[in-house]
Amino acid sequence: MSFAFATPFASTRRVADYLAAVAVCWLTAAVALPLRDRLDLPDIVMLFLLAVFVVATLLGRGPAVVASFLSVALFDYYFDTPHHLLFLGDTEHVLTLAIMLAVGLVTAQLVSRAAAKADDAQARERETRQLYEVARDMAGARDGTEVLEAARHYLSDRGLSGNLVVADDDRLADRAEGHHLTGIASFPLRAGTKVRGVLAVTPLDDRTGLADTQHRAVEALASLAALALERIHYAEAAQRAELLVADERLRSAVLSSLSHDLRTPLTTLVGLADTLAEGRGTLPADAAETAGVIRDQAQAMHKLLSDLLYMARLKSNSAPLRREWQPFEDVVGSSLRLAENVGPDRHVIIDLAPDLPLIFFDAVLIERVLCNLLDNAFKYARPGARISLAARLASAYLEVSVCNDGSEFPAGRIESMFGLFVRGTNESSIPGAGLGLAICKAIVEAHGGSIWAENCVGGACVRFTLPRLTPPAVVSEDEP
Amino acid sequence: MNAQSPLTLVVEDEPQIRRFVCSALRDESCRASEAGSVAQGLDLAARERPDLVILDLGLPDRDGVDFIRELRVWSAVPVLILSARSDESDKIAALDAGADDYLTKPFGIGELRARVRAMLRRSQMCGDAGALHAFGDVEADLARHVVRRAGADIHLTPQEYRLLVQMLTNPGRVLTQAFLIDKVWGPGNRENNHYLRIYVARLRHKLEADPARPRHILTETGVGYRFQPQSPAH
Repeated sequence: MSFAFATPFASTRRVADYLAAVAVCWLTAAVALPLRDRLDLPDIVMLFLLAVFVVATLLGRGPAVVASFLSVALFDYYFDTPHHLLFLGDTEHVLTLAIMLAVGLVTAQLVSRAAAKADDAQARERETRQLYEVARDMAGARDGTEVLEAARHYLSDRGLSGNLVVADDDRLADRAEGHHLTGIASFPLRAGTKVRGVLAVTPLDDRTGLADTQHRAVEALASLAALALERIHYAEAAQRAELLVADERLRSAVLSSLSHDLRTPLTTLVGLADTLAEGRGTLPADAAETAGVIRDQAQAMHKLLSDLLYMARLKSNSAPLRREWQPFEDVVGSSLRLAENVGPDRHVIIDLAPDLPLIFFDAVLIERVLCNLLDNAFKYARPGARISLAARLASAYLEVSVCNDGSEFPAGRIESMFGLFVRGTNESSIPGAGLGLAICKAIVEAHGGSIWAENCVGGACVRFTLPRLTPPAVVSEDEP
Repeated sequence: MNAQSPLTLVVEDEPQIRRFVCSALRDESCRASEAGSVAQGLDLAARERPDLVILDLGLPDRDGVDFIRELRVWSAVPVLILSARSDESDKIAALDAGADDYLTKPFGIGELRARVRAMLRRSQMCGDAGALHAFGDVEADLARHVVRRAGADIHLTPQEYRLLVQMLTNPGRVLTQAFLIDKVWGPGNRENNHYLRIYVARLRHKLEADPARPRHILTETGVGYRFQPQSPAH
């Protein structure tokens, strides 16, 4: 039996086995005694050896050894001359007795070894079958609870109770490995490079510790559980990723159809109002002016819509940055062209440090930042005030600043200006929704830079940074 | 308006947008024919041989880019795209398929009319523009490989020169980054688009009065570049 510890039931059975062995020997003596005079001594010896053999086969080694000694004693007492004397005086049959004892013991040994081997084979077969079953159960497990259920079932079959702690924590495993509380053995569930949890095992009875064979079996169980948990983990991760992708795709689709569906009526509105406003002489002057106002308001609404969509895209990460290596000067030129279209009576002083390196940024988004900052400067600075756009290198960053003379930021509100829907001046007559700076902040931070505002001598400044990083190599064509 | 005035095909599914676009075209003394779908547009383009096509990218039956590809098989007529999408990749796809210019919705009538005028003028003087080009204070003689600025010779490297030639021979058109890289550095160099940006910057420093505020070599952010021989009127 593979149970290494005896149960009360097993020990009663053992005593019965010995009694049976004694009984078989006495029975043999009783059968042989009436035939004592008709049989030769070797025949009687054979009878006793048969008895020992039967005991060894049926009852195992211990009873067989007892049977061997008892058989020799019975033979000597009842059958060997002189009768009814135990090992006294006769040297004639010493050899016979010795051989009989030896044959009995060897038989007992051989038979019991064969029996042990058969038992062992049977136990192994059972072990394998149980492992196979638990492996099958775990392969079908859908979550950690079902893995634990399968593990518990397997452990209770071998008189153990177990608990499973599922955790993606390597430190937990390290702690568990060297840690053997009295009676509790812990097995880290290691799959691949990662530890998926810990299996803690206690014997059901009060014995402490696990036998070697059990230890190996539980180790096998632990690796099966680890594999099952790993499989479940990856299946769940794949499912989550799929959901996330579907989610992002939906969000992106909603944003892009919103963008399209809102832009189409705005295009009609701007176009038709502009047609009326520009229609030379077809409308009275005040009607044409009204049409112009409608057009401008529709344009403003479009700006607001674009800002909101930008913000939504940036916040949802559905539009990854399209960063490319490019000279900063490039985006300054295009931003000025856009900004000066809006405020053509303003002039911006540009101050770019010579030999700026290539910078890694999304030109569309940084153009948005510059346009918003220039737009703010145009809106809040007095007409004719100096507005400047400067860029210079500062250690690991490119620092860009948009400044205007005259009006300053209201003191104490500088920090909060970059929040959503925060306006610099309350109830301002200047149009805007307080989105501009919040979008600048979102864009600059998405690039790994930072943005802040400050009042400098006689004016207001917004500065932002873009990381410098290492530009790609440029091979000059003039070199050989 | 007579049969001699240029014919413009407007392919746009929104009738109100067609209405004001056609009204603006009439103000430019153009005749206009209208289509609401790709199929109808291709049919009209084949029968009426327009001088200009104004195309909305979001059409109900098929993608506007398909329209351009099919049109370009048999026609070189200039195509102006109207795009309601803010995503630059749609514009790039349309331009790479053969469109010439784009307007992002919503747009003003003045902007539309200026584009239409410029495109019609270019297609009328199409064909051989000759070897001599001039913009700002720069003169280029492509036959003799000479570029002068305010009368003084300007030294250009071979790649700078090839880039300038692409710009001079495609005036007013939006040239995508992929197009310029293919022409100047050859296909297979598209991942090195920082070269294009560096060379454009160098050209600006050699040829523009204020490189940070270019008047001729303009950036279409996220899309590419446009060479504008004359400073815009407005």
